Amino acid sequence: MKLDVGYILIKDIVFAEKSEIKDGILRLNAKELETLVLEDERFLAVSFDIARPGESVRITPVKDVIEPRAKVEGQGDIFPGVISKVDVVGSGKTHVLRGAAVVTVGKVVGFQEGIIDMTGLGAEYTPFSKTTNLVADFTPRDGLTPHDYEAALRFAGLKLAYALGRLGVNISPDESKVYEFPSLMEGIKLYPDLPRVGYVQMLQSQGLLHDTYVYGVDMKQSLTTMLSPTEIMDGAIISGNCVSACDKNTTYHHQNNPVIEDLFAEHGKTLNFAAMVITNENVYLADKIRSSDWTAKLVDHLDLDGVIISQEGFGNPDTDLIMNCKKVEATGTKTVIITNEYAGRDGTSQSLADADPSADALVTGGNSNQVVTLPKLDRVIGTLDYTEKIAGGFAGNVGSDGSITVEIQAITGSTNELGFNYMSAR
Amino acid sequence: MDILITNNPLAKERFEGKFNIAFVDGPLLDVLIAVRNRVHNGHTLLTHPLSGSVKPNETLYKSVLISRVQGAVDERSVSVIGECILATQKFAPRAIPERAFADLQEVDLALISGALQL
Repeated sequence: MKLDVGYILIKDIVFAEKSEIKDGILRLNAKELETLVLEDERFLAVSFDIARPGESVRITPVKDVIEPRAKVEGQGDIFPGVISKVDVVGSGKTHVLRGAAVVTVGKVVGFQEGIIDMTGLGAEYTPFSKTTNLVADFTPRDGLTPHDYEAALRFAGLKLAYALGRLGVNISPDESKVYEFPSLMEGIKLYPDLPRVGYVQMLQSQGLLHDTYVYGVDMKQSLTTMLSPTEIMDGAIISGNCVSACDKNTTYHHQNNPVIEDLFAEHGKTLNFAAMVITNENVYLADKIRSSDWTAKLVDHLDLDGVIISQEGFGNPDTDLIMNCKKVEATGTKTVIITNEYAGRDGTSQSLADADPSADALVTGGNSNQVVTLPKLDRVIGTLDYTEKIAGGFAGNVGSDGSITVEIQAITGSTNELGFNYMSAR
Repeated sequence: MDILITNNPLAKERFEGKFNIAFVDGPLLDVLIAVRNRVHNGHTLLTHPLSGSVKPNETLYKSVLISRVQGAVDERSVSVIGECILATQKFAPRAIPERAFADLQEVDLALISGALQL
């Protein structure tokens, strides 16, 4: 599959009479957007706001972050099986509104949802302090169940991102990049001397607030499978995961998976990016055994030299991660795993809830238990009311000066397990 | 019927009659210890004790399913529950506001229901 991705650089978002992109400014008619999302009767109201890098703004509780994209040429459309019809994506031409993001805000169950600070210390821990964000804050109808509210928020965010993306269809991109993912045989012929490397991406699939959808299918109901990484760039994988802000993969993370980016960057130079495998992280232990067996069988059948395995979440997925690692290593294929750590506030505790000697090459996204105090910011989009309930927040953690003390696990994307973050060590 | 070990009143109510309920009137760690004791007696772990990304010190409730059948001690179950207890103990205890209780019960119920497709 070959995908030409054109990046339209968005310098700012403003509200205007007419929705359009002009001179790199994304101009939006808020009323039109309101009408679009309030088609869903599960919402009582929505308010839109714009948060720019450097502004004294805190956004919380964040549900999802989505990058606006549009299909310009080729089969299928963005977010297949969810917003557009089920059809194969990942080839042709796609436009990206680079620098812009849709951020959805809303209380689903009141905790576990993240913080995005646009300035100060908190901004250093989240990649979404660098994007100009259209923030949509939703009020649900009374009596809406958490399941329905989560689904409504998920769809609303995707609809907004889709609508924004369409504004870029006829705009000439400022930059472009071609991603070409050859078939297995083509890859072998093209790069006979390079090691054949695969990527196994584990997707959160534990249930309410912990789900991921592939072409609209709830991943917990799927066996381990394969797809082209370019399909993911067109929104084949979307996030229904609200839990654990620091390490949940938002839809934006999926659209911009840095493991895929880096494998493409090395493709044909130091390695042959030969396969992309996706698997799940279910609660039922028999599912874990079955899915990790399938991962190892696929990797073995593809005769890969090495795979990178990334996980999503804490605790339960650690078991899947280790099962995948151990079983893949047993087939003779080398693994590198990507995780984050819950190593206690002093960083000295064991980092994962599972381990195996074969897991001897590991990349970490950082220690989620690290404590930070975030200064009071001038404006809050959403509500701080739930901060004490957010993962990593402490009960009564809002200081008299308006500062909040939290573990960095409260910050959206801080210890992301795809490596889409700013944590590093020397 | 398999055995649901839980301290979540909502799960107890929902699954009465579907599973043998072993209700634990105590904190989350007591649920895990009850699971471990049964696993040591030959029951097999059927669901992961750290289900959900809600950290052990951020929730009060946990429901874990184990096998009705008692056989030889299952090594994998022993290892998983042992790791889960160690992981739980490393989180510093935290006060959880009362208004979060209902949500936490709901999430635990959703996770176990999702796992069992009920």
